[in-house]
Amino acid sequence: MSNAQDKTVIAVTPETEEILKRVEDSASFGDRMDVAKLAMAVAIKKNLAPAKSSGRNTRWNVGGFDKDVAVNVTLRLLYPSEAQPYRLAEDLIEAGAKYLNDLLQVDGQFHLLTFLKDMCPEEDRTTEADKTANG
Amino acid sequence: MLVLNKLKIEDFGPFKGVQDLTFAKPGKVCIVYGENMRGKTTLLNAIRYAIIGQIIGRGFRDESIHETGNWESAEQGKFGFRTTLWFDFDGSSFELTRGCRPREEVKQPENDTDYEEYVDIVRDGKVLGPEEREEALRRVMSPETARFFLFDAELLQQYEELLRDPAKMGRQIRAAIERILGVPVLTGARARLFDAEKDIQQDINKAAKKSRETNHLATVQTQCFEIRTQAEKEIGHYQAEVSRLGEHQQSLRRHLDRLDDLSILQSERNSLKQEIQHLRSDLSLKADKIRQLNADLWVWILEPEIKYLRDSLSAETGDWIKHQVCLEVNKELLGRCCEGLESGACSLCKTELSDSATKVLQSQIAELELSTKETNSESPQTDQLVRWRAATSVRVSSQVPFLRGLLHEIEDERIAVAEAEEKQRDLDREISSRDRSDARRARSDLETTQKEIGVLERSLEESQKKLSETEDRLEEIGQKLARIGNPEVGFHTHRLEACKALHDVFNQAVVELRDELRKEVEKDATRVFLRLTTEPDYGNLQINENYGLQIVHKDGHVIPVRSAGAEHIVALSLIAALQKNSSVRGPIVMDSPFGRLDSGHTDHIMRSLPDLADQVTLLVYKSEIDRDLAIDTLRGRIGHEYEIQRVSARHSILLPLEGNGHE
Repeated sequence: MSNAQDKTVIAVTPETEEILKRVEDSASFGDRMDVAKLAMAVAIKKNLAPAKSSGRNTRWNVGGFDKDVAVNVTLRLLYPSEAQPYRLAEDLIEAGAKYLNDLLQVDGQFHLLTFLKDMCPEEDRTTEADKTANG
Repeated sequence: MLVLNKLKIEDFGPFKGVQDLTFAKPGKVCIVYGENMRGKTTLLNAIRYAIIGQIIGRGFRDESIHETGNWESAEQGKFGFRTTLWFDFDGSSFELTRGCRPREEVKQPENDTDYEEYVDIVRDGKVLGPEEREEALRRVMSPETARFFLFDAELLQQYEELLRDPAKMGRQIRAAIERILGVPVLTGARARLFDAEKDIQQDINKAAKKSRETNHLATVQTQCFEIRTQAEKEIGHYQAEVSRLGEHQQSLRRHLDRLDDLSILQSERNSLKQEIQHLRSDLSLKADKIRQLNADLWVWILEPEIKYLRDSLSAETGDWIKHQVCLEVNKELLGRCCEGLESGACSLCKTELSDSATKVLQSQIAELELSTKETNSESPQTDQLVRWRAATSVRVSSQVPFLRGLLHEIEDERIAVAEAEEKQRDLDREISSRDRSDARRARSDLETTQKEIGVLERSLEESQKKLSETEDRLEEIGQKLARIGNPEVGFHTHRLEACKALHDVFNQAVVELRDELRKEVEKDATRVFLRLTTEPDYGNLQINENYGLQIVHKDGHVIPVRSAGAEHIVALSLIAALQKNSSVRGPIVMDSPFGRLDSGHTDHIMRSLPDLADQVTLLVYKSEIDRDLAIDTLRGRIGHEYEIQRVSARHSILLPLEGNGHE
């Protein structure tokens, strides 16, 4: 498998950019790129179909976006048949952003604790068990 | 006897909406716990308003009814408030509703004049008309007697002032003490006799005017009557003014005392400011940490998926590696076996092979050749190996639990900041209400009031002197008229003498009743005091003419200087004694009565509570008295317990607490 034709920049639609900005503003994120990766992870976690949207604007160079190539490696691991992980990352960001937008509809805020409950239920159970064990 | 059963309050102060308080039955105690600024004093005011229609603010000023309504409800367009009190009095059951609402034409009330007050009273199921209602309310409790039943630390302080310096106390309080003791029954009758004396003097005057002999004396007598009436009017006016200004003076002194506490409030506000700063800086550090952590949040979310893949890939790849090792070993063995078979000797020890050993070797070679072929067919794909390596390289040590912990801490700290800021705003309001210009105004007002009192007292003295001289003059004229021997004048003079003799009897009766009551109050106050005090060397209390009480040592000496705590205990003893000797029996409601007392005195008071009055309601803050201690001390004598819980700065709720033996 080759990634010769894979993207060298990550681009997002203006709609997605707005959603990422709102999440960044209402929760503690140091960089909008971190929110973009979060959107990508949400799409993977929730088995969302990658969104092939058009009209994207270049946002990040992959060198900056994925300094430690963790995104590349993770996507290759989870999607072994995918030859272009960064193109896939873009599509997943678009899909995940829509999910985040639904969460924002409740009161316009991104509630990180509620989000973690939804995304990491295992952690919750462990915590509850720990609480019980600790009396 | 008055027994309170239940109170319903609606939008009164911080008590938003409708809230209920059930009083303890006679012989038991009801305790309401609440932190400062939650509404304890407002609850006392709600009870006071329900009974006598009066709301008293700091410095004994009447509170604004506009500001008494709940602010949150007012913001939602609901103005006014209401109280309903169910009580028993002299064998009848009453339901008394009081309240205020905006006048019909007023949409947005701005001050007290925009409201109308209403009172409804139902006795034994029958609605009372206006006259019956006023009579019933007057009998149940008057504002003058209510002060002995419903009191807070500030009112208790007023009694302490009475004990410390009775001369400075207003006539109103002494009059109130005598009223609650039933003295007016005799003083009222004595006043009627005095009026009758005046009427008879008028009869004498009329009779004297009929005769030429006595006419000139009658004219002088008429002039004296006019001077006396004028002097009496002046005396009444000056006494009322001195009393009013005296109360105002006391109120200003208390106000200035509160202003002196400003530095304590300022220090409290500074501590709060520091606490808020510390919390904010901690919040900022935690927010930075969260920003740092959130950079890796995406990969932690995928942790279960990555781990699952890594584990399954590790299992598959691990098996293949084992096979690879076996294959290498088998190949090595196969080579050595083949070498041995070809040379006819062992490849390791060079011993010549026997026939049987050659056969074993041949069979082993066949097995090794087979296993080498099978292993070749199970080798993994190159991409699987790449994925396995990738899986092991991804950092998935999730810190979500740590992140979650930080987020919870931030939530708690934000609440703490909001609460501290709200408290700071309350303190700012309190401090600004006691600003320096206010202190200057109060001091100047106090000075002016003192001067006014001085002028009035001098005028009062002059009028009293004038009255006394006129009375002497009238006595002289009366004697002269009697000597002249007019029969009609003589008849009325005999009537006057009889009336004067009766007046003297009542005068004596009033003196004796006062003496008797003072002795009873002294005896009962001593009994209560000795139960409440923690000082074993105190012998008794001694009462003076003005109902002031002094502590007497066992050796008979008066204790000259008393501590604030001792004064507090003496004041409580006086109230309990007045209750005991009162012509009206009723419940007592005390707001923060233990504030300045040590645990020993508090414990003694708690144990004596059920004996202080038939029905007791305590409004206390938690640090004033520990709930477990109260339960333990009162042992089954607690009827009800409530806690005033904060919803917001403008919204508190009365929450009933459960407990063993509660009604």
